[in-house]
Amino acid sequence: MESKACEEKTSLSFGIAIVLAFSFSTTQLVHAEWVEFINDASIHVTHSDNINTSAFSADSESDTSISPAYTFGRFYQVNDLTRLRLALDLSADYYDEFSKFDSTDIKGSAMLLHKFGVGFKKPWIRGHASIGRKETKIDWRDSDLLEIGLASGRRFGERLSGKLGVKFNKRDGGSGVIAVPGKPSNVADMESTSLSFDLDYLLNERSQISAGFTHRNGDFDSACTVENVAIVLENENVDAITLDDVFGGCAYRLDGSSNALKLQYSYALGRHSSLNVGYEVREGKADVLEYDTALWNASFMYSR
Amino acid sequence: MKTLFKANKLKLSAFKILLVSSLFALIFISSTSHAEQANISVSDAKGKQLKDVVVFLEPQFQQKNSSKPVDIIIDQRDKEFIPLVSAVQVGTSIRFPNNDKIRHHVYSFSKSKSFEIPLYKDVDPTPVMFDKAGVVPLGCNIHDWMNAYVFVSETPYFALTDKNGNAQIKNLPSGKYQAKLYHPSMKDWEKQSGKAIQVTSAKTATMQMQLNKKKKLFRTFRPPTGSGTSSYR
Repeated sequence: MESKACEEKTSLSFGIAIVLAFSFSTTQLVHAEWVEFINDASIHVTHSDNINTSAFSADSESDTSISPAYTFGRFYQVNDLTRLRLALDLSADYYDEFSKFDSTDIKGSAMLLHKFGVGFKKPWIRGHASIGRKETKIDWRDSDLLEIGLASGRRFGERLSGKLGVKFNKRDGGSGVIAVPGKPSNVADMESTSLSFDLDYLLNERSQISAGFTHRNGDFDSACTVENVAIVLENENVDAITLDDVFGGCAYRLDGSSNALKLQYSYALGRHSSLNVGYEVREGKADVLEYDTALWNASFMYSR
Repeated sequence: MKTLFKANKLKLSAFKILLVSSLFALIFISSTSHAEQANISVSDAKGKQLKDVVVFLEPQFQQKNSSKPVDIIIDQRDKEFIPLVSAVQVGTSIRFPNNDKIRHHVYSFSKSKSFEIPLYKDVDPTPVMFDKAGVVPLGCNIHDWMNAYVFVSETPYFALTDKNGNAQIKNLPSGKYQAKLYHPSMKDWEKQSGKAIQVTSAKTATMQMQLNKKKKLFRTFRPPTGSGTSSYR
């Protein structure tokens, strides 16, 4: 599995190198300079019917979270067609019932965007990388975060635009209490690769609907009560397991795949802010058990 | 001798006054004969008045050489072209000042005018001459949602409708015209036959015209849908 992840990382790094090559091969230094500042803020309210991603309906917990986020950064215009985005991303999740699941993320991100020519229908390609830290109320859930991604997209007309992206995520957490002798307890050590396809469609000058599909392969964490641990260990190839202070019972890590379909409606309040509502359904499968989650969210976003 | 000189001076002054008055009268008479006006209101099929519609009159008679068109400005503020629709006569130069604190890259690849003003701010770029009739859609290569339209008219007789759907075209020579419309929402605007209108010195010509929109015109308030990899930036 490690070699597979390594191959994926190599492919993404290669892709980002291509973006860099495109950018600097066409560099006209006369236009290179720091340009727009980024000041984006948002607040999301999300309800999940299965925040512990449990395979057992009796064990799954639902909760609502509120998530403020703020991004500060700046664009560097490399040339007429290429720009670099450097940003600091701050976000937090506060849960209504399971407050021990609260977390705070801080990330530094770099993204290089290259457009293939002049015109609003010209395709673009971008590579991005971010590193960061997730702090939680449970020591073993505190993690270092890494994301590398490559995406390409274009507008197909005045209303429709689409993008295709691939990204690699790595989370490096701590070790919890040994729950099953002989099994590692580093549940938060996870790697995954996602392939996504998104479409945006402008309904009118203020409204936009978006639809996205994501296929994800790799590690994910789940939780179950002590009564179901035996069933999990019997049916699933569990890579790590530990006692879970958030939901009670055990938290475990396993390798699987999932598909997620999301829909979002955005209404522009003005040129810099929007109200958004969305629905997402995720269906995951590991060896035998299935992990389904449905999420509703509403958000306010401000972008300067 | 002194008295004779004074009398001559008075005669000369009276002559000057007469000459200037005659000239003013001549200018006034000639201007009134060309100062006819046409008021045209434009609505859609449901009777809703439409703004930003270009009404242009094609004279059905031999035109005299018209004066040099007046140059105009299309501004860029808060990542938006202002105005959305402009109408100019062939030969007009347009300035594209950037009043944002960020760079814009103005372009058009239309048949009537293909040009680019690569990334700029804090400078007033060289005005662009629009020397061929037609429609010139404008864009910004950094902010893809920015758009605007320039209608380049063969005839000097045109105006844009206001918020009440009314356009006033002034200084029209008397005669027959064919009134036509342009709006970015129209398809095949070139194929329209227009509507005949007679302009006389007797009274202001008025007319109502109907425009059937074929597509939605977008000046999008692009809603922010995320930051970073999920957003449009």
